[in-house]
Amino acid sequence: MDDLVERLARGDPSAFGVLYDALADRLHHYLVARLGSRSDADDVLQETFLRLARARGKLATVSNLTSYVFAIARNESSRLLEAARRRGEAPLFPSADMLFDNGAAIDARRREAADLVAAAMAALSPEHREVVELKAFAGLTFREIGQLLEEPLGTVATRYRTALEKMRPRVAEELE
Amino acid sequence: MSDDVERLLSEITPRGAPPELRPRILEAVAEDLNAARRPRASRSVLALAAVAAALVLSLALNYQVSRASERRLARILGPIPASRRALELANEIAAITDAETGRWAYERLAPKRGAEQAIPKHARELQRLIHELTLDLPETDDEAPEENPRLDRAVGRRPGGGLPVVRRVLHVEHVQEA
Repeated sequence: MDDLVERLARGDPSAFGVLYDALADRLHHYLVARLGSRSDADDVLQETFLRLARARGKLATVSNLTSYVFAIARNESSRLLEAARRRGEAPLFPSADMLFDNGAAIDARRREAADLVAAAMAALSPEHREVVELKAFAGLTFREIGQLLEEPLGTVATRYRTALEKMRPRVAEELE
Repeated sequence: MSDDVERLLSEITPRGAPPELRPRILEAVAEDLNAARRPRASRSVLALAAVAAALVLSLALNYQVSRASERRLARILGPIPASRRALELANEIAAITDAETGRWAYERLAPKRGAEQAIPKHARELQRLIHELTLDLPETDDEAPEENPRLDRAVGRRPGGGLPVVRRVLHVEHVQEA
């Protein structure tokens, strides 16, 4: 990872390709969950990589590249959400189709599970939903989530457990 | 306790970024990286040009200031007299070559002819200045110094609360004398 950071800091375009392959899917999913729109997520993901390229000089001081890139994406999406809020628009939580792979190849049971999970996540508060999204789908560790949200590790872990407990009644039929 | 919910979450597959997004983003990044490199070179050229322009400007200003200062000094002190050395050199050149070359050399070494012509004018100007400086102007009553300025001014001041009275002083002494 240090080698990748060094190459990114030098402005090596192929290093950005490596980083894209490592993080783009997870970042995109996180952005769709936050923004409720796949096209907005596309734009913000592009802006995230452009900002990373422009601020590559700062990479030498970055301790965790994954948290750093997620932080840029989070800031960019917050800017977009703030602009939408000023226009009086409230983002809707995306449907299961937007979030999960519900293709024809997937069996009906898993499709139903995806719908239930999407509905259960939509019912969570934005803080709880974000921790579930980052932990379960973006694959970040509690430490990385803590760095990203600027919260203590214990707070993040507790918030995650609470969120899962809140989701439990909504996904109960799938658990049985 | 919430492990079963966690397991359920792990069973569903999140949708990733659309495949067409990868080339779009990486191309944009590559363009941005190239654009960032290009202006750096042009910026350094611009900086060099700015330094050169500043240097030329400072030299021009210095020349202008020197000329203005010389002109001012010439106005005060008169034109620079012809140097004896210049005359000697011109004579030597004339002896070796001819009178025309000697005159040309003298014109190049000595101040301009116009400056020589300015000497009588400058002398007249100096004379005028000396006359003005040494002129003994008579002291008038109005300019008599006050013995105690604070007291003397208080005497002339009108009392507080009163209406200002405008007095016109008519100089009629010459009429009375007549």
